[in-house]
Amino acid sequence: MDLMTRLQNVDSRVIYVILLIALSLPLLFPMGIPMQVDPMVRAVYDIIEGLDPETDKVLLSMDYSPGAGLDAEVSPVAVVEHLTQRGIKWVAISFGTPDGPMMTNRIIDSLEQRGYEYGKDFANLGYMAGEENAIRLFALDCLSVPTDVRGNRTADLPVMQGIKNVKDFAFVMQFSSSGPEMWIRQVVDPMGVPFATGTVTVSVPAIIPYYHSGQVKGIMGGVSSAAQYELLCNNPGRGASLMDAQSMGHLIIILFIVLGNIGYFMTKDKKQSAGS
Amino acid sequence: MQISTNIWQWISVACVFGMWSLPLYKDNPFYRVCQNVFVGSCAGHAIGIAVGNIVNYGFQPLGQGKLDLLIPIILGLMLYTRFFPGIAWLSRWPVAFLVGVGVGQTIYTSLRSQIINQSIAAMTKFPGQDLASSLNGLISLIGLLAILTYFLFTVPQSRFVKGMSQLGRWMMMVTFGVGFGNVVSGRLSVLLGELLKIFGDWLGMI
Repeated sequence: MDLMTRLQNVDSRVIYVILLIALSLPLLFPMGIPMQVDPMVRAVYDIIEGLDPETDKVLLSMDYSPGAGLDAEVSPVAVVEHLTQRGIKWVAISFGTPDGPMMTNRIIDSLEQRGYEYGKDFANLGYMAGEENAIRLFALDCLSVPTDVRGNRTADLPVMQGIKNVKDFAFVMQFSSSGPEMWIRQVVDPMGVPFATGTVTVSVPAIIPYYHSGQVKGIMGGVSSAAQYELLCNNPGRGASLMDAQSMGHLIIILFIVLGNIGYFMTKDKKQSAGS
Repeated sequence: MQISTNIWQWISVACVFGMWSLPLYKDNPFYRVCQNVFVGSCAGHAIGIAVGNIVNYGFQPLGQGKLDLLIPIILGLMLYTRFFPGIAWLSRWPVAFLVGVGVGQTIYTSLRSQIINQSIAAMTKFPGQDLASSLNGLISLIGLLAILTYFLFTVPQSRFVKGMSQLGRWMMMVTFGVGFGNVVSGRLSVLLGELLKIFGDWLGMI
């Protein structure tokens, strides 16, 4: 088998090992590759910067599960850090997956260790089954959730005082591993609530039309968006630390695609000349 | 470097290595144990949450006198009649109710949010406020029309229609490429999360 044929038949295990090495090295020895902030990410930042900590509250719909990995988890962490820095109170609820409350608790645990108070600064209302219908019900009556994940009555939580329906939140943001269509259909268009979404990188292209139409005010897609958001907040966290490795991974994939195509076209020419 | 003394970090990293053993080596008992632990824990968690929901949204309010909840509870129980052949037909009623509510809730809102509002946005983006946004709007509009033309099967394939159809095909190819690029990027992020767990949480090297 000549080199050009081999290039098209590289053992997948070789690619995995090279990728592992290429991703590990920048993690251990960061290079500081510069980043540019996407306007869709800046839009989310600007909305939160424009909120008033005295009066405004934010609703977070936490609809991602551990299977989505870090790609889904870093964006909500970055946004919650920003909300916390600005002293804006927030409430989380999950409609898309029963794992949502567990993922929210991971964020809440770190906040409580730093002295922030559950119920007063934030709350986790748990999972509400029913997906689109549940979103509609909650949007019309936020107290339709009787208790939070800790068994407190929702109506008694200090952070829920003054909240009757979703319009009482100044800003709604959904974090999911899919798209925001249910929120757009049931809340954004009928009720005119400012809405943004954080999702995994895979889902971003499908959501961009909603950003251009103004139905979604901002989009955060995966680790790269979280890194940009951390940069805007002057608070480099997990997202920023991963960007060198992410860029290196992209370079390796591009390299393999180019090599595979060179091999394909070179052998194609040979086959054609042999045929003629 | 400070290796974690937390037993759960060790179990977590062992499971990561177990899952990686399939692509890097081959199917093996270690991989299967990790896979079954994952499936079992996910199923157990989902059942726990589901039972919690039934108690939280159903039985507790019912015990406090909200008797109208008897209707959805009875409808929910009727779903299980499919396990009893003699009365299996009863399960169709709650299914019909769920389908009716679901369709009723989404048919109008989908039309408004995903067709009418999206079409309005496509039509009003060109001309834009400056040259760059006008150019973006124009490309978007031409792309929309070209892709719609690609799916026109009932008009004579004139030269213009064929040209637009070909352009629509190219536009879709570009879109698929963007989609694939995002898939690669997303999967790399998932892998990075695991590496961060190994080098950071477990080995304490980061």
